[in-house]
Amino acid sequence: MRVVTAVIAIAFGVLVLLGYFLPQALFPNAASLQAVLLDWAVILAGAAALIGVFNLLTVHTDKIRRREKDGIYSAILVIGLIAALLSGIFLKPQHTLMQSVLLEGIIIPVEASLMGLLAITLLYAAVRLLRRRADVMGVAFIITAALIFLGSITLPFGDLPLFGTLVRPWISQVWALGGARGILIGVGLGALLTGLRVLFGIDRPYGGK
Amino acid sequence: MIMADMVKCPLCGTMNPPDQKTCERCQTPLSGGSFQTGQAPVRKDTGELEPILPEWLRDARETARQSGLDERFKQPDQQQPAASSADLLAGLQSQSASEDEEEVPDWLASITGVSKSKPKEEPAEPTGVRWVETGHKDDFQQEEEVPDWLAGLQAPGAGEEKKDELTSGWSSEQGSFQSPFQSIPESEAPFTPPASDDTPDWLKQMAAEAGEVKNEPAADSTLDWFSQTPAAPPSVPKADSATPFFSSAESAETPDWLSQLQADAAASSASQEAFAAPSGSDTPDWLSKLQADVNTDPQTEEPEPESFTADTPDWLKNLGGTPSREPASFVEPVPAESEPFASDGELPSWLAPEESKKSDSTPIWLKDQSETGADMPAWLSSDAVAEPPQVPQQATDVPPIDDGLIDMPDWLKSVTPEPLIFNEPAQPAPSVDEVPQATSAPAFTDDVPATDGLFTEMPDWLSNAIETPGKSLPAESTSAPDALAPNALPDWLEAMRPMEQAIPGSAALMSDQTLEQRGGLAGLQGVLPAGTGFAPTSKPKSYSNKLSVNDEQMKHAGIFEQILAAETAPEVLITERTLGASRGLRWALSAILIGVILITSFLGTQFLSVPVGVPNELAFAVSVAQAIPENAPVLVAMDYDASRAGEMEAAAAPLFDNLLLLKHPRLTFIASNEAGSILTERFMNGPLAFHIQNGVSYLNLGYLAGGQVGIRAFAQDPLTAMPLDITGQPAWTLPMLQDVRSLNQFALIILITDDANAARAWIEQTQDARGVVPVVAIASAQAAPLIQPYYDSGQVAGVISGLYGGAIVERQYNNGRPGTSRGYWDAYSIGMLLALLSTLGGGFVNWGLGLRKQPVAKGGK
Repeated sequence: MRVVTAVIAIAFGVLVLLGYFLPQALFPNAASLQAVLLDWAVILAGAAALIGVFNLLTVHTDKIRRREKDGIYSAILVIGLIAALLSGIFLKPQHTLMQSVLLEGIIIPVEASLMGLLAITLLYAAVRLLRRRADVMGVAFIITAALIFLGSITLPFGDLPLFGTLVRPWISQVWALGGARGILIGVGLGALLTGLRVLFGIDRPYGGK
Repeated sequence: MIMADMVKCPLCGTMNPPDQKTCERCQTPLSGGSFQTGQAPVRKDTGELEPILPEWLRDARETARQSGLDERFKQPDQQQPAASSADLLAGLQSQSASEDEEEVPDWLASITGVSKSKPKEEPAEPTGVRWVETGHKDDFQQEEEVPDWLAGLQAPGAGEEKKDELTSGWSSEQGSFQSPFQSIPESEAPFTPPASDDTPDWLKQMAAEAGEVKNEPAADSTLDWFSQTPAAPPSVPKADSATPFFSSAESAETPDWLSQLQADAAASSASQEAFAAPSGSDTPDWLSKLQADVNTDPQTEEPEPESFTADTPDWLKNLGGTPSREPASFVEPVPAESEPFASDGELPSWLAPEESKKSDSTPIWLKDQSETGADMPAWLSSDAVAEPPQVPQQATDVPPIDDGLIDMPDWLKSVTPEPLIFNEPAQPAPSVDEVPQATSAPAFTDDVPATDGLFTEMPDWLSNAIETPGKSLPAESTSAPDALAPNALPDWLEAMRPMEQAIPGSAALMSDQTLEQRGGLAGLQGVLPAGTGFAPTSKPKSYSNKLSVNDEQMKHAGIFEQILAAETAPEVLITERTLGASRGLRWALSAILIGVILITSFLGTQFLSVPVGVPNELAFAVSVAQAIPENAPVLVAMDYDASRAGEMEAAAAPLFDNLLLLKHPRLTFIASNEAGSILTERFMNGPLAFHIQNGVSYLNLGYLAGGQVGIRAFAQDPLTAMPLDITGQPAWTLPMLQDVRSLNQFALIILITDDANAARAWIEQTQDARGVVPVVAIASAQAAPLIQPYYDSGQVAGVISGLYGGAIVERQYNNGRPGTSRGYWDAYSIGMLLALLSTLGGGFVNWGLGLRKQPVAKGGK
């Protein structure tokens, strides 16, 4: 059984990959086959999302039934899930109730609050950084943050001279950009290697050894 | 018989007939009266328990019940011996009587006098031991069957010889004394005591002493049978008169001397009756008659030597001496103070147990003899301690002669028991010369035929007396003559002891009479002597378990212990002090930021300037967007979270406002995250509500599942990937997507995202499908640096980065419309300033604090 799953995964992966490399003029079916397989993947992904929702619902429902600790939160989650599901199905996203209650009243405030808490936590960590780790990197971090801060703010009369027009762009366009580019390259290479490993059957995230 | 009627034994489970009272197998009572486990005891009449008693015990009880105490001695033949628990042989005998006739061993038969052809019709017959020891009147009486010991005495030829032997044994000592019993097996002739009209002196003496003894020794449990009912030997003839030994009816068969005794006893029956009455029920008739005989005419019956018949055994003749015809008992002499014929039913003194007997076990008749001096046989005299007699080894089972048996008649010597190892060393037997001549009349008259069975083997009572000649013979007149030797075995056990002559080399072993004085074998004779030096000479030395150490060693031990304790003691590890969370600082920072920002927002201040400089990526983004044709389809990907809705709307609203005002595009929104579709509605109905109100429409395709695969699928075939819009209507037939069938038919793709991965996915997956369609990315300040490479590589036409870019676009390109960015800018700037100050100030302060504590920590280490 493990061999069958590996064969299927590798076969379909190769077909999709060939759709990228084979010229469509010579192999018109390759592109169409790739499209079909990708459509299947979209459907399976959608089904997986539903399965995830159902699994979430089952876990929390069982937690409520066993009267476990913090079961009340599971109950709130289940109620919210059902309410959002039903309202989205019947009311549609552009309904005012959806907008005003669900979005404006629950989703945005909750997530925004978490984001604001993150800001305070990062600031607190920055303040106590040098006390815990008083080294070069810590100092460099503090200095960099300070420069960015200075480059982002403006004065009543305009940007801060030199920081807004030179330092900040140089830090963001050179140092940050270089780092980001390196990250993206690494990510790309990793993705490529992971794909090849799956195609070669070395990694089997779908199950089996 | 029906099985249901059968009764099951509760003990063994055997099925018994219903009418059976006891189990056939185990004799357990089958009635409901039997005891069950856990059952409380119920008081019962002991008479009801009689069925469970052994048969021999039942017989004894029945006999006792029938005869009564007073009739026991009078009807000894009808009475049955009390089935005492002590007399185990009696029980065996009684039980065996009811069973098939079994083979009685010769040695047992010779002792007990029970013949093999014992008639069954007779009741429970006492054992020969019993009737011998109890001195029943019929002890020596023979009816139809003569005991072996007695039959041997009736041999005519042997009788005279026997008599001669007995006589010679008493009168002349040739240097060897033979057991009176020993000679009998040789001749195979019954012993025939000489008939005499006079009762032997020793017999008279016994009777006299028995009359003197008032107290019976405490009845031993082993001799309870004797105290109960003396058993009558089966072969003992019934005596019409109170003849101790004989019956007139048996004069034809009984030895002369025995018949003579009987006649004498009959003459004195009257007196003996009177004497026997107070004696009680346990006094043998023959003994009582002897007493009566003695009491009536003790003088006239004095035997004389010449009055002895030819059949009178020598020993009996010798015993006569000056026969006083005392009704001396023929059994073991009783002590002076004991009353063998006591009326209280107690055990005769001469058969009393050892502990109840006096140290002096001198028989009464022997004591009398000793007192009289002249009448005492030489072998019984106190001075009669001579050398061990040279007993000729007999081929029969006659035991060897003890040292004290030199003066013993032959017939008595033949059944001399083996000397016990517990006995004291045998006293040197009296020399031949020391043995007084037995000049007195023999114990038995010549007319009385000797009873072979009587003297075939020496009775235990006599053997015990002979075994301890040293004790009994010394002149202790007050001591109990009939007391058993301290180490004497019970009679029944003595009778069972095998003969030493059958054991080769026993004589040699018997010669070693060394008495062990010490050790575990103290008091024993004939044991292997311990070698010199083997025995512990002193108490073994005891060693102390304590460890002896001096002070210096203790000190060393203490130091060693400290070292070990130090090794095993846990050591406190020096770890870095964890910096605890400062709630105060956190709360302070939160309070400052929230307060300043809220105040600034609420006040709507705009004193801080908006950035002036325009980044290149922002300029290109705006220029590309303004270059699309009018009413061109524009695809907008809403891939940001609700948490950054404020920043993203502030960043995207100025551009969209500008496009809607200038180019009137047909906006088509699609989202690759779950909240994108609803955020689209908020975006269009919030900052861009002006345009909606002015009739601007847009299309919301909804959520595109699959992530990168979904984007890829949409890029290749948008109609298949997203056929319907969020309302469920076919999207690609609507006017908003008119003439749009592929991704490259859009005029512009605007990517609004706060996630670099989503931006990367859209950019990479749509690259082939979109062709030359430009992509403008509106990203958050967090994701903008990661999208910048795509801008540098030409994959993205322009990038608008967060509130900073929106503010620039709003001021620079949209004339301050809608104004969302401008409203957030002061608060944003002040917040940034505070963060800067907090970071710098607080960081350096904490840095100083850390530097100050480092030397302390290092010093602590």
